Amino acid sequence: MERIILFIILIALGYVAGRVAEKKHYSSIREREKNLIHVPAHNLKNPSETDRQVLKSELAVGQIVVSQDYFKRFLAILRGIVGGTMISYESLVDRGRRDAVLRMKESCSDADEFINLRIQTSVIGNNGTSKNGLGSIEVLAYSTAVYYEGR
Amino acid sequence: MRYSPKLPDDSVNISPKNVLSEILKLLGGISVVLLIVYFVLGAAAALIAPRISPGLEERIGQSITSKMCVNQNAAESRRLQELLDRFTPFLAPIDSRLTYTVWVEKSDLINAAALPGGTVIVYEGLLHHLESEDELLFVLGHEMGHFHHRDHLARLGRSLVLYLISTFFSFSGHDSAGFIMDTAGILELSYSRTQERRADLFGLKLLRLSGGDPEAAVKVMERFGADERNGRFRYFFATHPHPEDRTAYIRRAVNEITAESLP
Repeated sequence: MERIILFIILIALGYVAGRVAEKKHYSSIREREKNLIHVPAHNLKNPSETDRQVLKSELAVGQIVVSQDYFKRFLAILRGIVGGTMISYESLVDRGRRDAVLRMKESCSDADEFINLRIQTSVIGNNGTSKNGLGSIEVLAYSTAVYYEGR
Repeated sequence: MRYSPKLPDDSVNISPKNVLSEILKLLGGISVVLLIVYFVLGAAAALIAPRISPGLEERIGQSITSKMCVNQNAAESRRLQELLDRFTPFLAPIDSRLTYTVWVEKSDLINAAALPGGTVIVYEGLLHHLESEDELLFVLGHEMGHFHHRDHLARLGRSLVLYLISTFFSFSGHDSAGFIMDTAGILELSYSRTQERRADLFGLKLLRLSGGDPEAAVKVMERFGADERNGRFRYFFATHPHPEDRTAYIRRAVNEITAESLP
């Protein structure tokens, strides 16, 4: 009986706290995206402005680790039994990817363009649906920051 | 090539589905399937239980008693065995398939159980709570009731089903296995309460047939009721009905018996 109550409390806590955290994270992401959207970031090999002289280029890296909550984990486990779209993890990956790109842009705030953008994901602390699995994802975004002459 | 800035569209990569309705749907669907499995296999276990031969039952019993019967109080065992043997003339032919032995285990537990193979295990702790021979007879009769209804075997089958379901969940490797087990456990308990009630009434009948005073059964239950500190709510999760409820239906049964015996 105690275990059932504890389990329900954890699920409820995970749901409420997870929702609050996610909402906060998204509002931060949207705000920063609005401020940085004018700086292009793309996965083409070469700078897009061919008529301008490149002054400097450097490696830009942005990285974030996002964790699941108890509710998301439980939902994912149930999904894992019957199969289908894991909607509980979708927002996790989406937040991680967008924030990693933003951090990458913020790491070179004076750059004019980010080229050759790559995004990589890895699991940290075991798979979330396994026993004692923490279930966090690390998203790493990296690219070449390009600075043009005569800005 | 011109770069045209565009903010990401939130609605593309995240399903608009509500997670709460999603979890309810999944929980509901999986529970229904598990419930069906549980009841079908449980019914199969109950169906097989009466057909288990005494020989097989004894073999199953040996593996269980070897684990549970460790530290015998020989003197008390002999005393209780004599009491149990008083039931022999009153047993139905179907109950004579087994030889019934009492094993008093040195332990503070306040409990007794019917084990496959015909062993009644009584823990010493229970003996301290029983004051007269008639009260002992009622407890032994109660366990005989489990043998009579083959509860001890059916329960074995059901435990096996529960075990199977839990392994299915541990396979998915999550602590929700514990949650499912607990929820299924509650179902199991209410099933077991029906059995306990039946065994109580059977014990009462044996007590009366062997010449005991039916009032002793009421006294035992009243004493347990007084000792019971747990609230009624907790009893929703217990294997036995609440002592007060037990007192009530035993009281009713005793009254009926006395009314019958009047001319």
